[in-house]
Amino acid sequence: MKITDAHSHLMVKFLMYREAGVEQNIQMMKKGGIDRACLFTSDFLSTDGSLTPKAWEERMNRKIAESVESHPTRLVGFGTVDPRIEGAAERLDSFVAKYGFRGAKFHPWHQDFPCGDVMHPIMEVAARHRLPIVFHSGTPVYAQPLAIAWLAEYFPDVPIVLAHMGLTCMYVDAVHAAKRYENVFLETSCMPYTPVLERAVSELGPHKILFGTDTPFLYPYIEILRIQRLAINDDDKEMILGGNIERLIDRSA
Amino acid sequence: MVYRIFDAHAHIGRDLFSEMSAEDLVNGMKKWNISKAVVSPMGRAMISNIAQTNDEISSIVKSHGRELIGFAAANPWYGQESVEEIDRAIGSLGLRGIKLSPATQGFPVNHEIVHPVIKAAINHGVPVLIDTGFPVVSLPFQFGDLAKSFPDATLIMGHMGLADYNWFDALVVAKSCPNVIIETSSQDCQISFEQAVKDIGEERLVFGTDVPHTDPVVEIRKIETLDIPSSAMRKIFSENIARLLAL
Repeated sequence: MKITDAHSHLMVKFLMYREAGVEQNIQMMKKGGIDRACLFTSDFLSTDGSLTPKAWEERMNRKIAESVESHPTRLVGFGTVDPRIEGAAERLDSFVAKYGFRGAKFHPWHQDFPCGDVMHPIMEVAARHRLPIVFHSGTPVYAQPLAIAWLAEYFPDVPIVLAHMGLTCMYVDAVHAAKRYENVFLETSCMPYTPVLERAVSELGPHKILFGTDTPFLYPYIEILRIQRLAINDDDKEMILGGNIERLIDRSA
Repeated sequence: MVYRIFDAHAHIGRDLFSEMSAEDLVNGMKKWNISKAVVSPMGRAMISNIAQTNDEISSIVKSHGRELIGFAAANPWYGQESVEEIDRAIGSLGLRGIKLSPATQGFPVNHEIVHPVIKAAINHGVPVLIDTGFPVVSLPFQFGDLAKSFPDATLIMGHMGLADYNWFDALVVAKSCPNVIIETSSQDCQISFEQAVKDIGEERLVFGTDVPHTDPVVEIRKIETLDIPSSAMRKIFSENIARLLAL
């Protein structure tokens, strides 16, 4: 069974964390038995005051591209832009063209934006390139699952991934959102509630659930153990552990 | 290395998304190698008919005296009545601590409505286990506000603030409140526990599963693979909760 992680980060210096290169990700993937991982930045807002926001954006996306280039079979690049700075959609468009990103990741509270109209031009770019858009979800105020999923009202063709499926206490909203909108998917990292996971699989269908680890903040060998031990059938598990995200990032699909 | 494992946070009953019977818990504990568990009620049983809830918990722990230790439900909304129920549950029913679930029961954990319950816990010399991490009602600093008001109460911070970076806040609170004990269940970030041992030492962390909400096998694996001294591991898995409850 091929295991693909729908959620991992390249670590930079940030709060108590130290900068770590892509080799740390690869090591952690090996320990957890992960074959391939979607790679996001963790430097969503510039931590380097010497750079302009746009220069920071360029550097951060380039680092993701270089990491993917060093492990092309292991990693899948996801870009990001600061939605608050005018021209964000055009910049995402050019990063996708330049670096071959297969999706984009946004972190509404970290990047400090309410997930409403400001996202629309970005979602149009996603629709044009057939890119899944991953959002951190479950942290009030900006990262409420329903506020994010509301974008599906306007963009029914863009896969919208609710990372952490509501992050423990907002799982109800995440499950409702995925039930209401065909193009809303739930990603499992940091969701410790086994009965919620099992019920989501049976109520929404296994095609709606994507395995993710949030490496290196969380450890893949723990996140995968939880999914492997779910009381669901093996075909469903195979979809969740990789099949579903592989379909979303498939360039030829 | 095989550790003796006590679970400081297990549940019996049902709530919005899970359920657990006493028999299933005790049988499960054998599979998971958990030798003792602190059990408390959950869901509706935490809200109304509290005396009946505590009678049930008491009767369950009496029939599984070797494995189970009972914590009493208390609903602060009942005021003096809740204090009298605590007197009965601790004094006559043999329960060993108090459980509060601010999000389920509907009060901010630092509101004055909680104070009589905490005073009753101090009078009886028992700890209070409180679920934390729910925005508006039970974030770590709200818990810390309560802990600062009652330095003589032993307050167990269930879930260590739960999701996001709440564990940063949990450690800030625990560092300045020596009466705060951190409980590990459903806190997925393993770095948080390694940092906790550095910041607050080995004595104030207790292992919990929050079963049936989580998979205890995952909760145990999460702790036994931490990069911490084996003395800390022993204390977290059983010695600290044994000391707190004189087990």
